[in-house]
Amino acid sequence: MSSKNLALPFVRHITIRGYAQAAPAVRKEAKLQTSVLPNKTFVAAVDNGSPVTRVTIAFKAGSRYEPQTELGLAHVLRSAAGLTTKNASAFMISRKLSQIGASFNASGDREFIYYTLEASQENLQEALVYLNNIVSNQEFRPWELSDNVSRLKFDILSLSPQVRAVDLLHKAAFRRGLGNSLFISPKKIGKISSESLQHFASTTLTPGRCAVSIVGGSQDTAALVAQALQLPASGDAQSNASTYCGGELRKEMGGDLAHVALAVPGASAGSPQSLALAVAAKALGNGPVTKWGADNTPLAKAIGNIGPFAAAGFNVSYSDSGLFGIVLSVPKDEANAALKAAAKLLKNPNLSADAIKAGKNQLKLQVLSEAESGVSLSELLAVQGLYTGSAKSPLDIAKDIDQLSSSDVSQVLASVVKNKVSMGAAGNLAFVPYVDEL
Amino acid sequence: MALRTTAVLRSSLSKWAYNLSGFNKYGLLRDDCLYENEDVQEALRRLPDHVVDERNFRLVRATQLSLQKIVLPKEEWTKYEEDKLYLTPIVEQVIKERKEREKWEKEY
Repeated sequence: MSSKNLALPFVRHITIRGYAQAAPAVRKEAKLQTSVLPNKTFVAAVDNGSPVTRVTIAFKAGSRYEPQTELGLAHVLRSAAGLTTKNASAFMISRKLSQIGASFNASGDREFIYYTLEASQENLQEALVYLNNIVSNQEFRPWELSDNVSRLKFDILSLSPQVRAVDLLHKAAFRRGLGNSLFISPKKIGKISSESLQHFASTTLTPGRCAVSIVGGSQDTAALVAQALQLPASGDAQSNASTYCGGELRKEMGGDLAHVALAVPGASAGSPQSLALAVAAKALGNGPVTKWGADNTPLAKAIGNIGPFAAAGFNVSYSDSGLFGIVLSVPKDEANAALKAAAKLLKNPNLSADAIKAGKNQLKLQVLSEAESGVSLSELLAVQGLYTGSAKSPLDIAKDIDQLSSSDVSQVLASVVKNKVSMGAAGNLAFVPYVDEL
Repeated sequence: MALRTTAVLRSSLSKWAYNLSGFNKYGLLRDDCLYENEDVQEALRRLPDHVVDERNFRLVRATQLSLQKIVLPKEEWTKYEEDKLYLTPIVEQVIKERKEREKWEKEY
């Protein structure tokens, strides 16, 4: 064998090496394309040449569309993703997807439910077939739902108290609609019938309430995914328009810490105010920026030196309303002082221009770094489509943030903080003041 | 015509065999007599509660009658026309799912 290798002329070896060249690295412009199909499904695609494709199918089927008699439907619906449907059994769905290395998850918030699939390019077509089977023609077989009960229980047990505080805050602030909890109440577990789920699904999982987004694939693929879905054509669940009521809900859970969320009504998604409030939330503070470092944000300075605590501004925007405020975790004994200081800042936030500038930079970083992860980018595109009917790339959002002046931010902030404060609290509430004492 | 005669003949034949088998005298249905293997147990789990309760009542009644060496009065016997297969379709579904699972395990 070695003699044969030697027989290859040295010169020829050089010419081969010389002519062979690496394929020129094409810098593909990852352009965002959006369109609305004839059946009113919103479709967005970013073809960034990624070897892994992420596909999100989102529906307006969040907890705000639950009727008051059947709270927790949205939680059961997202936990029922992957059960047997008319076209494929739960066994086949999970085995086939794992065989081709695809990953599927269903998540949800107050407005939407997201079915997200991640698959490598070469296995995309097969994975899409199973994504389609999961989403369309869901059957909710009663025995599979009752087998699924432990998953719901685990979801609730693994909730962090901060999440509970924010959930209670929504309930206090909006009561119904947006106030519906994201999670099923423990007493309702196992009591949500297959029929009511079927009804909820047939009125919310419809083409007109659907958005399909794809990251690392073409617009055509996204349109094909949307068209292949077998969804009921009619039915449109309505949610009450959210009116901000304001109030307070507390859940005494014991422990050493008190977790409190304070908020005033914010702005709806897609409005210029919502971006300004997002900047303001970052400007209020988001914890120390270096690990174990000092927290020099306005919020931390207002609370002062009371020992270890965590405090951050937060802003959420929904289709017709929003919340802007502060989330706080403090040791129970310092809760009174810390909460009063935080509430004082929330009612009268005099943010300096420097703080707002820092807030803008932090928000930009967050938007851009979240877009690095394909799953959150593809969910972001679907959300924008469902809220506004169009989608902006993260880069454009960052440009919008740049264009906000600090006076814009302070003006919007001054107008929202005049409203009544709402509060949600969980943990050890022994020394947590009530909202009218703030 | 011949076809129709065959159908009539078959139906009266099965009716005769049904009455001969005798379980209807205890008020049982055909699906009450299925041997409870794993597939049937899984299918029973999938039935709505009230159907299982009715089934259990029929089984207990039949056991009682058998112990007492009597049968139900003739008007309470199960009629061939009224005997609906409430369990068999579900058992078939369970078997189909099991076959699918076994096929997968064999191939991968």
